[in-house]
Amino acid sequence: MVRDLTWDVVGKDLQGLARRFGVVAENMANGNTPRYARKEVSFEDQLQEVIEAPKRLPMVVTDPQHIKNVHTSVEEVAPLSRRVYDEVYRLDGNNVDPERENALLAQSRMGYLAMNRLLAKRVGAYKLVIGGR
Amino acid sequence: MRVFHSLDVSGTALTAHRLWMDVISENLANVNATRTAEGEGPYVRRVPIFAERLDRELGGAKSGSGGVKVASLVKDPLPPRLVYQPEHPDADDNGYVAYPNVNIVREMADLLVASRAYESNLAVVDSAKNMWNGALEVLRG
Repeated sequence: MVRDLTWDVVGKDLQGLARRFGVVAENMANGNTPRYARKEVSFEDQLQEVIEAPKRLPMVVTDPQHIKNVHTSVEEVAPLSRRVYDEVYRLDGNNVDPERENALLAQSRMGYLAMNRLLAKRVGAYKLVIGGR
Repeated sequence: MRVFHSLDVSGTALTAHRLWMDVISENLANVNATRTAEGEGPYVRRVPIFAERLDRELGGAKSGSGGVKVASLVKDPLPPRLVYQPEHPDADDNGYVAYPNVNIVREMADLLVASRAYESNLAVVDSAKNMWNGALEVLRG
């Protein structure tokens, strides 16, 4: 039904892309701030793990604090942002590359819109089923 | 993560770069001003100091980054430009007039940087609007 994996994964994907978009906005805003270290967001690797989880052998956990080798639920996926302190290439110590940020901006926007399109198709399918036409 | 976080962030950048452009136009306008309202000496070039703004200042609970702010406007410590003009009323005993330490070429280059940064942040705002509109379309099916 509505709670299928696609729905959850797409939701998390949208969340991660929106987060990346926000971080790109922060980097762009600080394009002229001396000694600013740019930020990056990663979440695709975690989502990939969840999708591939059924193919892997999970370690047995009996307590929430136990170490898990696979993320088994989409709920556990949280976008991680980290600062990049090395890679300084400008004299003022700022490492924001406008071209790179622009590319990331376009990439996350297009990904977001594509996922929206996918969700809209899903919603359309459910509507069709419910409407019975 | 607030919904319109990226719009807030880009908004702070637009404000900061607009201020920078204002400062540049002030510098250019006063390129030959040998007297100021403060009295002593010629006009001194102003430079904005950009600093990262924290989320807390924008009203958010988290302490993440929330864009950029102009931390202060400082005076450029470069010495004034001396021009030999003995007939000028502001000339010193040796006949030299102290003109502002504003370099027009440098200001023009700065203006270019500021307006490019302004434009790219405007592009971020545009993309953000685009994205949220796309999200609103989802439930239409």
